Amino acid sequence: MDLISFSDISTGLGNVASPWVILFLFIGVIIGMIFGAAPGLTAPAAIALFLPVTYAMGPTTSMALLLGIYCSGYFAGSIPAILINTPGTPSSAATALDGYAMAREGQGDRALSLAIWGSFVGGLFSLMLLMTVAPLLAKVALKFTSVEYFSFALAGIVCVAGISQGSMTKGLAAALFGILVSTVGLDPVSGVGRFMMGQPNLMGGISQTVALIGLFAISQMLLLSKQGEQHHAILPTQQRVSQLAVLGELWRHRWLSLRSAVIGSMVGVLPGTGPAIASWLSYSDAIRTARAGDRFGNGEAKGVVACEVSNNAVTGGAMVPLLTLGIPGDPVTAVLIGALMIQGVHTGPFLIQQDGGLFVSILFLLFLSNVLMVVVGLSGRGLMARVLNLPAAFLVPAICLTAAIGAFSVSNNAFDVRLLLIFGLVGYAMLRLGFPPAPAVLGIVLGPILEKNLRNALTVSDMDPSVFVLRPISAGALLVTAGLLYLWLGPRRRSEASET
Amino acid sequence: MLTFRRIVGAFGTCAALALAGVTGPTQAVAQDYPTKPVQMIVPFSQGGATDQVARLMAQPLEAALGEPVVIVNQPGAGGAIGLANLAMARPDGYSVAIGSDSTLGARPMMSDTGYDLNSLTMIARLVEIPSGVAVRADSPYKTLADLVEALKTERLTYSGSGIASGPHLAMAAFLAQQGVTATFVNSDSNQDGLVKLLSGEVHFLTGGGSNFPALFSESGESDIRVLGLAAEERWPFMPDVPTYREQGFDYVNSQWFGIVAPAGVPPEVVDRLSAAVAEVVGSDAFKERMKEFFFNPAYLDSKDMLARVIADSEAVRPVLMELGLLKK
Repeated sequence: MDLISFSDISTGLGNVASPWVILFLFIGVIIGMIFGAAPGLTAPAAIALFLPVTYAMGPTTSMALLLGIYCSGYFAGSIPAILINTPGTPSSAATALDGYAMAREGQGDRALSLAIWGSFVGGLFSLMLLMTVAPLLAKVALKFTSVEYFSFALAGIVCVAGISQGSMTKGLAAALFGILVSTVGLDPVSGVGRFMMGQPNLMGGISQTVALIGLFAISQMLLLSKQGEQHHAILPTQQRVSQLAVLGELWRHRWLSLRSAVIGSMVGVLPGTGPAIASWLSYSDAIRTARAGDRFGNGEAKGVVACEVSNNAVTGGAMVPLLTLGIPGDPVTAVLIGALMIQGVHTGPFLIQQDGGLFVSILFLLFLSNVLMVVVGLSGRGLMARVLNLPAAFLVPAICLTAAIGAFSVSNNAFDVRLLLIFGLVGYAMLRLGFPPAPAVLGIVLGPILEKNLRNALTVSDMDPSVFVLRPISAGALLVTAGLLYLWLGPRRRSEASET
Repeated sequence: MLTFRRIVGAFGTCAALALAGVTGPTQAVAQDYPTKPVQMIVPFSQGGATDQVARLMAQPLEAALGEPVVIVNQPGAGGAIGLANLAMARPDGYSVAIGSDSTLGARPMMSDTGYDLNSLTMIARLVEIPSGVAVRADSPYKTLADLVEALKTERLTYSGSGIASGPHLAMAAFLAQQGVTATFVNSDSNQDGLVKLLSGEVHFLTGGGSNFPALFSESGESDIRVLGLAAEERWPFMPDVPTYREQGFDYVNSQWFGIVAPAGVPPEVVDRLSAAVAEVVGSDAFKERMKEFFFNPAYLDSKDMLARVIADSEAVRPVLMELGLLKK
C-alpha cells in the first residue's frame, strides 16, 4: 500500500482512540438509527441537521458523529420497510418488497437480522475497496460520461418489468407517473419551468423524499386507519431466529451478496447517484439470477439480502470520489465535504497525500460505525418489532407526525408538507386501485437521471445517438437491459400468460 | 374551552390589527429595531459555501445587532426558492436572505420566480469570487487566447454549475464579447461539472475561482489548468494565474453574495442592518475566515449593491436573449 504510511496509520489510530470520538460515533449510530427508522426522516436530513453541531468539534470527532449517522442511517430505513411496509428512506423501498412479505409470514426477525448482517457485509466490502483501490476506482468513475449514466439508468428503469407483480400495465403506469412527477420544476438542461402552476416553490421540482414518504408512509397509514385493528390480525407473532442461522443463510447467498456489494460500491463511486439506485440495481440482478422456487416479491430472503448489502456498500464507495477527487459520490457525502471544509480541510485530489492521518481515521471510523451498527441494530431489534404491537390509534398519528416533520425538514419549507399530503392521497388511491407504488418511486429516482443524461449526451455528441452503442461501457449496459427485457417479457413470460 | 380560546384569539387578532392601523407598525418597530431574533434564509443546503458564510456571519452579526440571528436553510432552484419565500415575508427587517448575482439578476428575467428586484430590498453585499475558466492538464489549450482561437474554428463544449448560473452567464457573456460560441452542457453543481471536465466529456469548465485552489497540490501539480480569472488584478489565492485583461481580453466578472430583505423595509432598518454587516465584513476575524473559503470580502451598501445588480442584469439581458432563455 503506497497510499498511506505507517506514521499516518499511527496518527489515524491516535485520533480515533479517544473517548470523545467513540462517544460521538456511538451517538451518531443511534441518531442514524432513529432518523433512518422514522418514516420521513432520512440519513441525509440527519446529517444536514447535525452538521452545525460539528462546527465546534475537531475533524475526527465531527467525522465520527457524521459517519455514524451515515452508516446506520442507510441501514435503518429497512426497519420500517420490513415491519410496516413503510420504507424510511428511498433506498429501502426495494427492501420492503420482500421484507414486508417475510414479516407477514412471521419471519420479520429473520428479515431484520439478514438486513443488519447484510448491511454490515456491504459496508465492510466497500470499506475494503476504499482502503485498497480507491485511486483506481476513481479512475473508473471518470470513464463515466452522460452516455454511460443514461445507459445504466435505463438498465435500472426496466426493473419495473421485473417488480410489477400482477398487472404489468399498472406497473408501467405507476413508473410513468413517477417520471412525470420528476419532470416538475426547472428543466435540468435548459432551465425552463415545467408544470409549476404558478407556484415558485415548485421551481426546484418535487423532492424525492417528500414524494416517497407520501406514496409509502402516508398512504400506508391511511390504509391502516381504514382497516383499524384488523391489521394486527394479519401480521402473525414474529419468530425469533438465531443469529448463527442468519449468518449461515447469508453464507449460502455469498455470491449474491458479493455481486450486490460490487454493484453498491460501484454505484457509490459514481457521482450523482445514491443508495436508492444501488438497491434497485441489485434487486433486479437478484431477480435476473433467480432459480426455480425463488419467490421474489412474496417473501424471498434473497431480495432483502441483495438490497441491504448493496445500499450499505454505497457508503464506502461514495467516499472514494470524495477522498480522491473532492467530488461527492452520493447526497450524504456532498454534506460531508462541507463538514470537512468547516474544519479547514479541503477535499481534493491531494487530501490523502497531505492529510493521510485523516484518511486513516475515516477508514477506522467507517469500520467502527459498521460494527456499532450491528451491535445497536441487533440489540434494538426486539424493541423495533414491538412497534407492531402498538395500536393503530397510536401508530398512525405518530408516523404521520414524523412524516410531516421529515417533509418539512427537507428544505424548511411548509409547502413540502402540503405536497406530502397530496402524495399521501395519491399513494392511497394507487394502493386501493392496485397500482404498485414501488415502480413510481423508481420513476421518481431514475427519471431525472435518464432525462438529464440523455439530453446532455446528445448535446455533447451534436445529436448523434450512435454514441450509446459505440462507447463500450454503455453498450454493455444496453445489452444487459436487452437481456433483462427478454427475460421478463420474452417467450417464457408470454407462455405463462397464455396458460392463465 | 376551545371556543373560549378561539374567541380570545380572534379578539386578540382584531385588537392587534386595530392597533396596527392606528400607530402604523413599521415606524414603531423601526426605531428600536431589532427587538426580536432575525431570521436569515440561506437558499442553499447545509454545508455549502454560502451556508458557511452565513453561519460565520451570524455570530458577529448577533453581537452587532444585540439579537440572535437564526439561520434557516431553504434550498432549491439554485437559490431562487428561498428568495421567493422571502419576498412574501413581512418587510420589518426580521426576515432576510442571502441572494447572489444570478438569483437577483438573471433568474427573474428567465421565468416566473415569484420575486424580482421590485419585491426585494438590497441590504449589503458580502463577498465576491472572480469568474474563471479551467481545462484539463493535458488539454492543448495553454492560454485563454488558445481557447478563443480554437473556438473560432471548432465546436467545443463546456460545463458549469447550473443553467444561467453565475458561472454559465459569465462564460456566455465572455464568448459573446469575443464573437465566438460554444455548446453548454449543464451540470448540477461545480463538482458535477468538474467530473465532466475530468472525464473528457467537455472541453472546458467555467466556475468561480474559489473552486480551484483545492485541486492543486502545494507544489502546484493538478489534473486541471486554470487558464484565467476575470478579476481586475491577480487573485491572491492563485497568484500564478493571469487575469483575462493581462491576456488581452477586456473582461471582468465575479460571482457574489449579499443580504436582501423583502421590499418595503423601513430605511432606518436597512441602514442599521447594512451598518452591522459593514462592521462584520470589515473585521479582521471575518477576513481571516473567508480566506479558508477563498472568498474576497466585498462589502457594498444597499445603494451600491442595487446599482451593481441593475448593471449586472443589463449586461446579461442580451446574453439571455441570445441563448433563448429570456422570459416571454
